[in-house]
Amino acid sequence: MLLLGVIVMKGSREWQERIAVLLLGSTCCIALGVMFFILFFILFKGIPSLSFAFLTGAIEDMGRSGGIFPSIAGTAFITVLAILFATPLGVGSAIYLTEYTRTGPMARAIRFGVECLAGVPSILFGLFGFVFFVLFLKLKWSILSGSLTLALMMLPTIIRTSEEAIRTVPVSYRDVSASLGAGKWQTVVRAVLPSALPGIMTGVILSVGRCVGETAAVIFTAGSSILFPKSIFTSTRTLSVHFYLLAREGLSIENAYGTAAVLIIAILLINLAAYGLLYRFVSRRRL
Amino acid sequence: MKERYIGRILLLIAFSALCALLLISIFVVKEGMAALFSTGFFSFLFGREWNPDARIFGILPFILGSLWATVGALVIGVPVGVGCAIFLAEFVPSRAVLFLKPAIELLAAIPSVVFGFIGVVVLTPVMRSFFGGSGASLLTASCVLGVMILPTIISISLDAFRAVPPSFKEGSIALGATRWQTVRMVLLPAAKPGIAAGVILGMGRAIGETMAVIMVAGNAIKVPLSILAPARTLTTNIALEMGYAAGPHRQALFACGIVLFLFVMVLNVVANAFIRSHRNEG
Amino acid sequence: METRQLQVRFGSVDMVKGISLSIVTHEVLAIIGPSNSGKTSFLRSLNRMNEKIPGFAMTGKVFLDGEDIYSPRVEVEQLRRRVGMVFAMPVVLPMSIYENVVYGLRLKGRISKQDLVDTVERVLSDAYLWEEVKDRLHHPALTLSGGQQQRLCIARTLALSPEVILFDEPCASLDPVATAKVEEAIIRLKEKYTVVLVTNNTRQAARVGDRISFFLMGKLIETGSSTTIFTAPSHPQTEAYITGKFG
Repeated sequence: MLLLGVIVMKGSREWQERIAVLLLGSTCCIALGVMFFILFFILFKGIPSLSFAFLTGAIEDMGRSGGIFPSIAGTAFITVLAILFATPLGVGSAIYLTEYTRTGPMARAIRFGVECLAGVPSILFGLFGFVFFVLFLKLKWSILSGSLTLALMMLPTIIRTSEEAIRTVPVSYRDVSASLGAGKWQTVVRAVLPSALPGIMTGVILSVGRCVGETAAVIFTAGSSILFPKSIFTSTRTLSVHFYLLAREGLSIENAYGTAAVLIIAILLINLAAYGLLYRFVSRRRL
Repeated sequence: MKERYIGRILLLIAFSALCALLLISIFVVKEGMAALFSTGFFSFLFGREWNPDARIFGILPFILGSLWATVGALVIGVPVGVGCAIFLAEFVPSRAVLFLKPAIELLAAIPSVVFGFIGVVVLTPVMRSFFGGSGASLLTASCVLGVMILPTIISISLDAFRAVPPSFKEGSIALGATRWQTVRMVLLPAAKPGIAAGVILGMGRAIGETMAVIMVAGNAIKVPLSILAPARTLTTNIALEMGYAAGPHRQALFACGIVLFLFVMVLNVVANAFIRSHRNEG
Repeated sequence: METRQLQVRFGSVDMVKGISLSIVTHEVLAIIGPSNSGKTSFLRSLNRMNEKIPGFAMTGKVFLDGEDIYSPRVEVEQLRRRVGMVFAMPVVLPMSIYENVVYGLRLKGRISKQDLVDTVERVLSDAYLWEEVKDRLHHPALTLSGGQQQRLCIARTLALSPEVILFDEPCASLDPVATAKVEEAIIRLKEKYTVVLVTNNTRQAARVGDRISFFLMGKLIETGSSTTIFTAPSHPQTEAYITGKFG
């Protein structure tokens, strides 16, 4: 290493170039290698556990045996509910920020709020969710508490991506719509939103991916019940929480790998869907 | 007529983000302030002992833990990440990169618990054989965190490199510079603000990370004396004890949360100021 | 329509300086003049589109059928349906041809499907576009050529049955063949509508206009019938512009 370092500093230009390329190439290989290793390791170890029984069975013996269906269901419910809360708020905020005010004290205050919210670590959301939703609003550990907390976490991302998507809609669309007698809101709904929709949806889908992988905020608000969630007021354990608990308590390594594999596959599919949408969005524009 | 109402409704909706922030601040501060007052702000921040049963709350061990872990993560993640980004930007055919970049961004979406788990299963035994002990330490946590922030740093640095106008590079090559020299003298300086932004983002992720660190950092309450020591960070302390804390103990954990938030804010402000001052030198 | 002492200012710049002009029903009034003489700013005052630009201020009055269009009692959306506009760049919304044409109609309220279909055929014919697109009404409008898109924009405006149609350099981005088709459509339009056309092209004004107004640096220099302006203009500046000495 030292020799290489010396050569980089003092050697001839060709040698410098070669060593530099070597070093850079190796960092690249290390980086990519490690990252892909993690991915394939989990899939390799986890996929053998994925049987129909595993995916549809109930959690038994605190996870040592049985399946993970309650977790899959719980994760799905929490995520869908969180999206239902976060999307109207997020897109509405973005519409307000782009169409109704651009600058001015209101917009600046709102943007400041969004930036700060985006920087809050997930454990603090968990803390807040626990104290506010679970205790103060007496919602107890439940899907509702969990999804409300997740919705708050996703809000900044959705606002940002929606704002960007709406900004790419050409100003001329709005002019044309106005000249045909449309009011501001009509223009937004009929001319701007349809164009911005793919971008907005991509942002929402990516947020969904983040939701699914979120643990710290969820464990303190949705609890960790192993039962199938019967209503939004019951506690549940999402896939990532289940995985964490299995791993931490060392209860069943195979089931842990299996759960992780399901998690990763779900997230991969969600992100691929988002990219697919983005691609269609971009290629349709090129027309 | 309807238009005016809609404008007002949207304003209310837009305030939701601000409201959420206010709510969070109010609740966290309300719970945590009590602990800060009873223990005293400075003995809380710099106290070396954390003993909930004896009502002694000093979070210096955790502040140090967070610092060590984050710095370690940056030391590992930034050189490797930026180096990888340089390589991808300049030395790899762009068609391969077209496929690699989304793949890297996909990796950023892997949940932190998975990283933590791999850390436990793969890294801890290695650490154990090298350094003895349980294998769980700040060093292990730094490694795991470093890998976790790699996708973010690579992705953003790659964008920063690509955004450098081709004329800069062409000018350098035209003067007879090799590719590496061009990188060193033209590309890196030009992309510095972008890279810095990526590093800040990665740093934010590292500081706020909880689950992965719990699994590999050892979770000892004492002040970590070296990077090989097991320790807790501000985040893991909160997560580990929240489940069963009550009364003053819980308030102390919220105070911990306040400190964590201040930490993140301060770091962001400092880092952004740093970028801005450098940009002016640009 | 009529304007009286119209003065339009954006920020600190006066674009239109006290112009009084009458527009006669069922005529084509062509407004000519070099760039930046306030032609577009004037035009956009006629359908209150200038209000969308920050920093806009105005004095003077604009009348439609004797009514001040800037009075608070006037509903802007309604006004813009009576005074339609076709822009310089054909801006076609990312929908089908059919959807583009009925866009304005849908905003007004419930109209029967049959009425929509009839209107679509009528206005596309008026815009000389029906024959070319009648088989692909539900194809995306973006697949049309530039000239076709501009005629689609005209049809879209016609669908609202306006009284006045404002054209802001409609052929600026079109080739000569497409230009000819648009001009043909404009000439025919005056049977049913009143047209105000802003153009940088004096020959186009000669071909299409009944009366011509010459603007220079925000002021109205001269107005007259097409023949008068082009054969015996009263002002030396008019003559200089028409003969190509500047502009």
